[in-house]
Amino acid sequence: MTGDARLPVGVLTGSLGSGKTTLLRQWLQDSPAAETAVLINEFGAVGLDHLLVGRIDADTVLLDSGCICCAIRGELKEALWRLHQRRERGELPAFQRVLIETTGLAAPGPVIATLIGDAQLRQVFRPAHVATVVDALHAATHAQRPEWQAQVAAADRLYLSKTDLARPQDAEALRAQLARLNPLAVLGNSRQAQPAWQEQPVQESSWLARAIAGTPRSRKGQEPHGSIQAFCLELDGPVDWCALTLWLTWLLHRHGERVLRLKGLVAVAAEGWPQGQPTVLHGMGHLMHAPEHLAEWPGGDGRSRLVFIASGLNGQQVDDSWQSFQRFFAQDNGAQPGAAPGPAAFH
Amino acid sequence: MCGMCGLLQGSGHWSQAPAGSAGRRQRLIQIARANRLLALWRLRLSDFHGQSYLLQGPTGASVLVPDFGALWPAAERLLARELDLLAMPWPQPEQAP
Repeated sequence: MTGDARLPVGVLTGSLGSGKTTLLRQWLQDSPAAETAVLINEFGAVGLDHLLVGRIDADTVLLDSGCICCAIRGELKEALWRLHQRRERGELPAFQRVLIETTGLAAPGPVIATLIGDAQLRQVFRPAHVATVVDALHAATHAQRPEWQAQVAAADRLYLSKTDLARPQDAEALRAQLARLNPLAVLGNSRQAQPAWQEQPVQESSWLARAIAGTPRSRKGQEPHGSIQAFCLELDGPVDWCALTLWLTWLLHRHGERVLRLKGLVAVAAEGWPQGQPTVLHGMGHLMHAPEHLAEWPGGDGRSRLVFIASGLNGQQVDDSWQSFQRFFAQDNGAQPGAAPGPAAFH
Repeated sequence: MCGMCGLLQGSGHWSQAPAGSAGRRQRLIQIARANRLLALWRLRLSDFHGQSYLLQGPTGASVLVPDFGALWPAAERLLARELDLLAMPWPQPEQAP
């Protein structure tokens, strides 16, 4: 989002030993000094990773009391706030971004939840991206773990590490698997540069194109892949924002824990927008980011699409529920004002 | 929270309309839409000082909800049962006379 003065916060995640710290060191070497503040979370009594990223020791706050995803969410908030205050007081260089390296056992959802959900933090910080390192050598073992699935599903960018140690055909199969699991993410290898910190509208169309190409539409049935699957919901015509928010808040209330990731480009019915105003929706679990309104459609065919990466959620059912929901409101809109349609009440 | 009147401020929920007069209009439309749906369970939503919402149940019990995210848990509490969007018995369109 352009014109946003808040500091972008990136999350770097991946399984234990997958190469997160190696990638972090490489990114820091590539960045101008003191531009990035790093928060490192380690699971264990004694943290070691902060010793490895020695160059930024002065700016590093080590969260070593546990795993971000359960015990130290409060501490993450405090650490971020402390960083901000020290920056404001001039005790730290005026860093331009924050990177949180999570423990391999953490799902990134709660980190993003802290950033979006905390009224104090969201004035100062905004979530920028989630980068996940995938160990090509041990992916088959890691893939059994729910936190690996959550890390892959949450990623905006997936980095394959140890591809030189894995058999080429295994690495290729893994790439295909990752593209199916998370069509929203850019897939690269761990020698590549860090993700962009300022998301540009042009990038919006690239994730949409990947999702359309790689995601089975819910109407065409399912293509289950383990417990995670990605599906794409197509919405017809300009969408009524009120109906969409009612439907989506209801869906996420009851099934939010199954929605690992949700991203959509929706034409929202608005005055002065005959085709609908292009609006980006982005969510994880029960949490949704504030919608972003784009000035113009970023390419593609201009159809509204919602891409779900979900675990144990039936895409056809979700699609059916949206169709029924729309029919319900269309029926009501056709009724005369004042003549209550009096639908049968459910007791 | 407002220090003068003690009202809870808007929660900044993603579904919320922007501030200003257009936002106010949008908010009322949003409430009207919600009431179409909530009438299925004899629930009623109303605006509460432009900051929160008041959800009233069929027995007259009411609860203050900060945003649409909190609407559904509150509705389930008032009705004492779960509301599942994916297992919803939608009413059939009425036959024309």
